[in-house]
Amino acid sequence: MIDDKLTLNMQEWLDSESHDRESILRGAEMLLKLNRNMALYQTIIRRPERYESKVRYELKKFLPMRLAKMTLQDVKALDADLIPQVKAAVDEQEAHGQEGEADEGADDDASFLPAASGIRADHDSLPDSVRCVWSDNRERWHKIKQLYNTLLGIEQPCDRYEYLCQLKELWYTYKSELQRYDDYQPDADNVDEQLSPADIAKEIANARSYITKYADKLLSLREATLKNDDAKAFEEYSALQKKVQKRVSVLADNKAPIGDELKAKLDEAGVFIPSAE
Amino acid sequence: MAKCTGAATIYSDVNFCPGSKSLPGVRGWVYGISKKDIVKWPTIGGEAPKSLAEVAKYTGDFTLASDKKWHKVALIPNESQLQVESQGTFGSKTFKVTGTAVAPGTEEEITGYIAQANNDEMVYLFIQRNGKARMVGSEAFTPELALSQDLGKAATDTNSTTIQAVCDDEYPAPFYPGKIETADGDFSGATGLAVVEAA
Repeated sequence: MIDDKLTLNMQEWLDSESHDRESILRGAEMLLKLNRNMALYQTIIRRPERYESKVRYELKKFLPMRLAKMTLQDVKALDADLIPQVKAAVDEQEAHGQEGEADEGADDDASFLPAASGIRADHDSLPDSVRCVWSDNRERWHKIKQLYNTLLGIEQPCDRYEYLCQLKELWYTYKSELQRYDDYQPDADNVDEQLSPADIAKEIANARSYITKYADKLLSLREATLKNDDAKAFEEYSALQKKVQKRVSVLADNKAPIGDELKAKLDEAGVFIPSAE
Repeated sequence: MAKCTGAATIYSDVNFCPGSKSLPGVRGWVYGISKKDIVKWPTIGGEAPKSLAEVAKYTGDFTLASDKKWHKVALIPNESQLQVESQGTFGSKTFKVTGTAVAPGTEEEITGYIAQANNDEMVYLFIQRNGKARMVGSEAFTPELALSQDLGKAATDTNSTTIQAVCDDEYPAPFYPGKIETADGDFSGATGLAVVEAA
């Protein structure tokens, strides 16, 4: 159970610009509670004034995870859950790369993404909003690999936390986008072509009101998923994300504008918004 | 023989006024914590005590690792006890502090507790009837735990779990008047009352 009082004391301590000897000792004690590093504590209490910046730096490292209500154990659990998934994907890509070299030279890279069921046969005939998932995910995968490699060189959970959070967000977006790509059915999208202008207008109005109604919920679900790493919450988010994405595609395909504020919100909630042209 | 000119004695009268109360037994719970969750101990015996009342008393508070608290184990009333006896030979004498805490039931939770504590080093605080905390466990010595369960036989028997902590200590179950941080808030080891921090 996380001790909110400690988090509050840390915040207060960090908010204060300068500290006297007593206050630095209090900061050092909070740090000792967090990292259990007695050697560092003993060093600080011998000459507290000299180590004020060190205490500040170390406490600052712990604050973000505590504000996210995560203890070191929680960060370790996130680590243990996330890293094996990403490692499996990295290994898959490496194995694929070796195969490619053995065959004819790795030149089919553009059609491969790890943890994916492969590029679709009808990829080129997909609408932009779906087709771009593949290229966007290639960029995401590149960032995921960078973060994964960065994490390989970092040991302490408090240092890993920041990168783990970024990795988690990218990884789950990567997976949910791949799912959207795999699940897309061209027939369902082509129905619009036979609609009359009045029906299209109605469709746009419906899509717009649906998006407005569920944008906040989607955003909060995404935040909850990122915070709690809960599979059920992720499923719920994923289902709603697909529905909202479908409505956004309706607006995009009919060149109906979306307000900047809503666009920003949707973007934050992990919904892809195709560019205007 | 060395001349002990610098060693002042602090012996004084130990009175017991007629009409004073001295309540037997301990309160209906003990506080426990694993030694590994204690990052800094209060001090005892660091400075020469000025009176008898200060000799076997800790100064300062325990500093616990982040998010760790003293846990509370509820006990069967009037079954638990704290005993102290002297042991060893002249010049190396210490105290053997034996705390026996008898908790009701043998269900999963308390059974899991003793399974977890069996190979751990635990420190316990027994609370006297007047609210003062006495410590079983010390930084210098390794506490020994004897954990047992008795499911009873007949309807009038007791179904209980016994936690017996035996610890060698330089002091006889020293008093801990500092702060006891628990999930329910902070309590004073001097009075047993909640610690109210000044706003």
